[in-house]
Amino acid sequence: MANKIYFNQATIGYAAESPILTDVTFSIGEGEVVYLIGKTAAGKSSLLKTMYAEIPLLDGEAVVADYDLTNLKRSKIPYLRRKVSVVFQDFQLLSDRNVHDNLVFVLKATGWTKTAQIKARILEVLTQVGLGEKEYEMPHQLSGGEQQRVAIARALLNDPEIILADEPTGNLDPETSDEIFQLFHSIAKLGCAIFLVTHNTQMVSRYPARTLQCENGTITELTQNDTAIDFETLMQ
Amino acid sequence: MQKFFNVGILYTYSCGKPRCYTILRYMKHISKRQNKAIHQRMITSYTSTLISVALVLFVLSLIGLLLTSEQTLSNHIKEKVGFTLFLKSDVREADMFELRKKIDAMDMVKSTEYISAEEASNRLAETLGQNYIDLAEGNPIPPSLEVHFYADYATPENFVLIEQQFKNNELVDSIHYDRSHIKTLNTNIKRISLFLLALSALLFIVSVVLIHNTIRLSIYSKRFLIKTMQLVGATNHYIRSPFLLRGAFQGFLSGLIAVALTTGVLYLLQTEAYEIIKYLDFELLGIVFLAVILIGMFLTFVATFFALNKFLKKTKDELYFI
Repeated sequence: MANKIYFNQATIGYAAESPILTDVTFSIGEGEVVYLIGKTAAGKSSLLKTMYAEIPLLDGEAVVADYDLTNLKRSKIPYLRRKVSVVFQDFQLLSDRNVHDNLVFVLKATGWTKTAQIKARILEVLTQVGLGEKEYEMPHQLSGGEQQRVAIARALLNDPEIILADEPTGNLDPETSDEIFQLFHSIAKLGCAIFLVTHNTQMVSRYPARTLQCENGTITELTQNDTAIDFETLMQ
Repeated sequence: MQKFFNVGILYTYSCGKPRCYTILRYMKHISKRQNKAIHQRMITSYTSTLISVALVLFVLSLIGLLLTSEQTLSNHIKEKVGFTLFLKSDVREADMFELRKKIDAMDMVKSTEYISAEEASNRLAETLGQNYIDLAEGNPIPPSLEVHFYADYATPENFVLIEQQFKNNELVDSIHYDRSHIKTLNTNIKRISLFLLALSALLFIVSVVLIHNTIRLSIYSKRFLIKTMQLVGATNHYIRSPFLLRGAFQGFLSGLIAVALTTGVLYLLQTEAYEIIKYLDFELLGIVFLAVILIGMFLTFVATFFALNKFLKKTKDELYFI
């Protein structure tokens, strides 16, 4: 299984004198689902931001979707983000246009030109996330769960190698959260690596997978035994 | 307004009149209202930017008008001032025409006018009254040539040059012009021109700053939208293009509004105060209008470019601190 995300002795942060995370070492393979848990402000989102080149890598090695983050040029960042899709807790849809136009923007921005192909692809991903009928709704007209599905549909548009999800169920009710987790696991089966930052320990227990913990300024891997114990204790 | 549900049907009471919606229809009704509100908000934001830029361009076009009329007016005044060559009383008409032809051929001369002794006397009589002819006992005024320079040449130095050239001419009796008047006129016109230029430069700088700020605020309100565009893989060039096109079009529309406002002002002046605009050069006016539209497009384009670049370089966290 080829590594899609690879970190070795990495240091993450805005300035070398005050790093957010140090000695980060882990890797994620193709089609793998990995959870990242940890307390608030432990540095989970910062790790994610480093993966999509929003926060610099201060030291060590990091390769994401075959892009070496140690010397990634600014001009290459958009191309990294086409291989690595991000799903945010607050959805971050373009609020000034409907679902269809949100998805059209991504496709056109990433080089799609043929209208028929664009239409077909949009219908395909919306059907995949169960939102075929909501194509022409404005984001504010959708429920939180529906908006998150649109965000996932947007993430799927370019067949990404990796999907990074930053607390994707943070604003959703348990039933909708369950559907979103199911959706991520079904996407992973198609070969996409999923890296999920979450506080939703219930869902982590219900859909078990490899779990990393962000604690004391570094990342540690939880063993099968750790995950079997009460997550609430680990989160405290 | 009271509302209540009953088995999937929503009743609303508005102004005492009951209205009945199915839930689906009610949701559509609400979403239409929300869409309308969002659309309205976007239009309001676009219009307020448009109007702000248009008003600044209107000020710029007024400056343009002021500068061009000042130029035309000062040229008009300079060209009105001339000098008089008093000819000898016994000068032959053919010699006078020869002299006039020679003067007309000079680059600096705009026009010459021959005033015969009779005509000069009549003009003086009109000014001083009939008594003057009775007192003068004959016509004491010699024939003369009135010479007017082009504005660019109407300087005290040129007047001296002409005086030296013709004072020894055998046809010329004397040369008359008001030296101090010409000097004062030139100095004052130069001062006024400099003052207007300085004022225009100042107002132009103010206009640039105002347009830049208006556009920056308009882009600022979309900074998170721009960040989202970056996060989904759009290149900076792809994000920039529609903003720049929209900016230039906004500048074009603002320019048109400014031109319309200026035309309105000119129309009012034409009917109410014709004296103020009678020295306007309409060819120059067309150039000013074209320049206002082009400046509008250029300034909004450049302001959009710089504002966008600023936000495109920021990380999402930094956008909260701007």
